[in-house]
Amino acid sequence: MQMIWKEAKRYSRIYGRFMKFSVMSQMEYRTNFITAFLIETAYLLIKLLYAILPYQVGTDINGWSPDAILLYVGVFTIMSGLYSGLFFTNFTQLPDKVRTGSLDVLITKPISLQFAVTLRQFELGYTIPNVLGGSVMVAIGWSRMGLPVDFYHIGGFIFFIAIGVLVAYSVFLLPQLLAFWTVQTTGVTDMSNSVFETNYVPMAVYDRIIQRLGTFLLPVFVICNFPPMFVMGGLSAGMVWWAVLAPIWLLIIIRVIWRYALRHYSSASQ
Amino acid sequence: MPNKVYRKILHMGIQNEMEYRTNYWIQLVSFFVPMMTQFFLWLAIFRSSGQGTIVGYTFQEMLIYIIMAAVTGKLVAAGFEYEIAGDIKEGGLGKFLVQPLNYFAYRILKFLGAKAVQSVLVIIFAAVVLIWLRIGLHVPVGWDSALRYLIALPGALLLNFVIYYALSGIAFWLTESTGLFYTLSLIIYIASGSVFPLTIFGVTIAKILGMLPFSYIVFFPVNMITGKLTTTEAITGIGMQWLWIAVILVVARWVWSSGVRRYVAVGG
Amino acid sequence: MQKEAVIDLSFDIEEGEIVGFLGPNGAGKTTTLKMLSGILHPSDGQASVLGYTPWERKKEFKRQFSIVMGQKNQLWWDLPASDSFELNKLIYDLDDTEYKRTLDELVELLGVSEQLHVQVRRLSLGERMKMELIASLLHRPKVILLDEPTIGLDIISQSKIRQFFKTYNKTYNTTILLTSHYMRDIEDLCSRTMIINHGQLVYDGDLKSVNDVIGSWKLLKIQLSAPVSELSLNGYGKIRSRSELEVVFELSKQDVLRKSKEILDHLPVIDFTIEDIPLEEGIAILYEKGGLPHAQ
Repeated sequence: MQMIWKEAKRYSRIYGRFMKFSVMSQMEYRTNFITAFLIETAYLLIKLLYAILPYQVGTDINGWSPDAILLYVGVFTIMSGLYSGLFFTNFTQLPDKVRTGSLDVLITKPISLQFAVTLRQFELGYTIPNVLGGSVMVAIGWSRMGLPVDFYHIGGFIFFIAIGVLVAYSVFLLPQLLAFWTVQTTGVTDMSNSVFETNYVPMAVYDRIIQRLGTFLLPVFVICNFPPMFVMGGLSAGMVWWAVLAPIWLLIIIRVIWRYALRHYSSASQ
Repeated sequence: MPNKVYRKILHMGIQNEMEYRTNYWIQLVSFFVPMMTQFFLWLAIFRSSGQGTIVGYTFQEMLIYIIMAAVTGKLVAAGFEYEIAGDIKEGGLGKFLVQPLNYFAYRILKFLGAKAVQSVLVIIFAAVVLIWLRIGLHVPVGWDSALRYLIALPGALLLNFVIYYALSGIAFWLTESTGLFYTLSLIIYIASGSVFPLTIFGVTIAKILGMLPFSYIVFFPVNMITGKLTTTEAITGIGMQWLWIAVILVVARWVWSSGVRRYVAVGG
Repeated sequence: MQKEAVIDLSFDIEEGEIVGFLGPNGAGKTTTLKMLSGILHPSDGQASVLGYTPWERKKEFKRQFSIVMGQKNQLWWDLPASDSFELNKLIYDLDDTEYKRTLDELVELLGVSEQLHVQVRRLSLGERMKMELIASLLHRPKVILLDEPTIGLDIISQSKIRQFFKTYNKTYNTTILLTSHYMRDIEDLCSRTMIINHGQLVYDGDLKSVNDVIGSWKLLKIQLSAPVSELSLNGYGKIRSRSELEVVFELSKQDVLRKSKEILDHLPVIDFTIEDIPLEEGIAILYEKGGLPHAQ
C-alpha cells in the first residue's frame, strides 16, 4: 500500500513536470500558441451555436430543456478542451514515434512507457478557451436550472468529468495503437475526430440503438452525457455502475493490447 | 516455410490496400457522421416541438438543407490558401512574377481542374440521395429547384475562390498565416450557413448575415433547392452573388498588387 | 520475410571491461545492443545482463544500466538540458544530494557548465551529445551501452568524449559496451574487440591482432593536377585503382610515411588522404588469412 502511494506520488510529480515543460516549450513559440488559441475560439463559436439553437427553437428536445442543453454543450466544450489538450497531440504523434524509433530509449527508462508516451505533451492553447468557455456555459445552465450548489452535486459532477476523461483517453487511444502494426494512421485520427463530434448533441437525441452502442460498445457517450445527467438526476443506479466499470474495463483492454504490441515491437531500422 | 512467405505476402497486400482504401472510406465516414448527428438533432427537435415549421423550415426541407449544405461545402471547398501562403513565404511566387503566366489564372485553373473530378462524384452522390428522398420519403425535390441549384453553384464556387484568394494575400504581411486562415475558414463556415441555416440567428442577425458575401456560398444555393425562394428572390440572389464576386475581385486585386509590391521590395 | 539480423552470437563480458563492437553497417551491432537493453525481443536465445533477462524489462534492471544512441535524442528540445536532468531525477527516483553530486561531477568532467542553462536546440552537436551522456549517467549505471556515441561529431568532441569514458570507466569500474564505425573510438577505448559481420561473431580478442591485419595496410589517395604516365607511378607500392587524375595506393604501415613523402615530392599532387582499409575488406582479409583465433 505504501509502495502504491509512493509510486502515485512519483508519477504525479513527473506528470507535473510534463505539463510544466510542455507549457514552457510552447512559450518558446508564441505564434503557435496564439494560433491554437484562435482556432479553438472559433470552434467554441460553433459549439455555442448548438447551445443557442434550442433557445431559438424554444422547445425541449427529447426531454432536455434549452438550459439543460446549454449545460450539456458546456460539458462537451470542457471535454474537447481536455481531450485535445491532454491527449490528442500525444496520440497523433504515436505513429511517428514508432516509425522514427524514438520509443527505443524510452523503453529502457524505469517508468511506464505508456505513461511516458501518451501523456508527455500538454497543449495549453487548446485547453484554455474550451475549459473557460465550457465552464461559463455550465455555470449559466446550472444556475438557470436552479440546480443545488452543494458538495454532492459539484463533487459528483467533477467525478463524472474525470470518468469522462478516462474514457476519452481509452476510446481514442485504442485506434491509434494500430500504429504499432501499420504506419499510416492519419485516417484513424480523422475518424476519431468525427466520432468525438457525435457528442455535439446529448445522446438522448439519437436513435435507441445508437444510444446503446455509444454507451456500451464504444462508450463515447459516457464522456459527455454522464456529468449533466448526474446533476439533473437522470442517471440510474445501473448507469452509475457502468460509469465506474467502463473506464476500468477499457483501460484493461488498452493495457493488454499495449503489452502485446510492445512484445512484438520491432524498433525502427537503424 | 513457403507457407510463411505466402502469409507475409498476403499481409503486405492487405496492408497496402488498407492504407489506400482506409483513407478513402474514412473520408466518407467523416462526411457522413456529422450529417447523421444533424439528422437526429432535427428529427428530435421536430418531434419534441410538434410544430410543422421550425426556423422557417419543414422537416423535409431541413433534411434537404442538411444534406445539400454538406454537399455544397464539399463542392466549393478551397484549401489552396495554405499553398499560396507557402508560395509567398518560400519564394515560389517569384517565378510567376517574372513569367508572363498570371498567378491568379494559374490558381483558378488548378482549382477548377481539381474540382472537376471530385465534383462529378459528389454531384452523383447528391442526386442519388435526393432521388431516394423523393421516392422513399416523398420529399418534394422538383427538377426546377435542382436546376436552380445548379445555376447558383458556379457563382458559389467562384465566390468562395475569390474570397480565399483575397484572404491568402494576408501571407504577404504575416509569416505565420496558417492559423489565421484556419480560424477565418471556421468563421466563414458558420456565416455561410454550413452549420445551421442562418435563420436560427433570428430575423435581424440573419438579415445582416444575408447581406454579407458568405451566405451566397452555401445558404443561398441550398435554399434554391429547398424551394424557399421565390423567383424574384432567386434572381436577386444570383445578382448579389455575382456582384459580390466582382467586389471581392477588386479587393483581391488591390490586396495582391500591394502585396506583390511589398514582396518585391522586401526581396522575396 | 523475416530478416535475421543476428544469428548465433555468444559472448561474456566481465565487470569493468570496455568492449568494442566493430562491424560494417547492417552487421547487427545495433540489433545486439537493442536486445541487451531490452528494446528488442529476440526470436530465440538467452541473455543475462547484471543477472536480468533484458527483455523482461524489469524496473530494477532498468535502474542499473543506460543506453545512449548517437542518433536519438531524449532531451526536451526547447528547454535547457538541466530541466531534462531534473526529470530524469524523478524518473530514476534519485536522492537529492546524490543527484547533485553526480550532476556536478559529470558537468565538470565534460566541461559543459556554461551550456547547462541553454536550450538544447541552441547547442552544438557535440554539446548536445555531452548533455545526452549526462542524462544517461545521472543514475550511475553499472552497465553502459553506447551506440555510435561519436557519430557526426567533430574530431575534438570525439576525442573529448573518448577521454571522458576512459576516466569514467577507471573511476567507477563501469562496464561499457560500444559500437562505432570509427576505428579510433575502438582503438582508444577498448581492451577487447568483437567483430560482427552478417550477424555473426567473426572475431573476439584484443584489437592488436586485428590491427596487425587490418591496420597493417593503409590507403593513400591522391589527386593530381595533371595526368601522369604509368611509368612514373611505379615503384611506390601496389596501385589499387587509378583514373586520370586520381590514384589510390596500398601501402604497408611501416612504409606509409616514407612512401607518402616520396609520392608527394615526385608527383603533381594537389590533395591527398590516408585512410584505413574499409572494415568490410579487412574482415574479408581476416577470413582469407584464417590465421586468427576464431570466436569462442
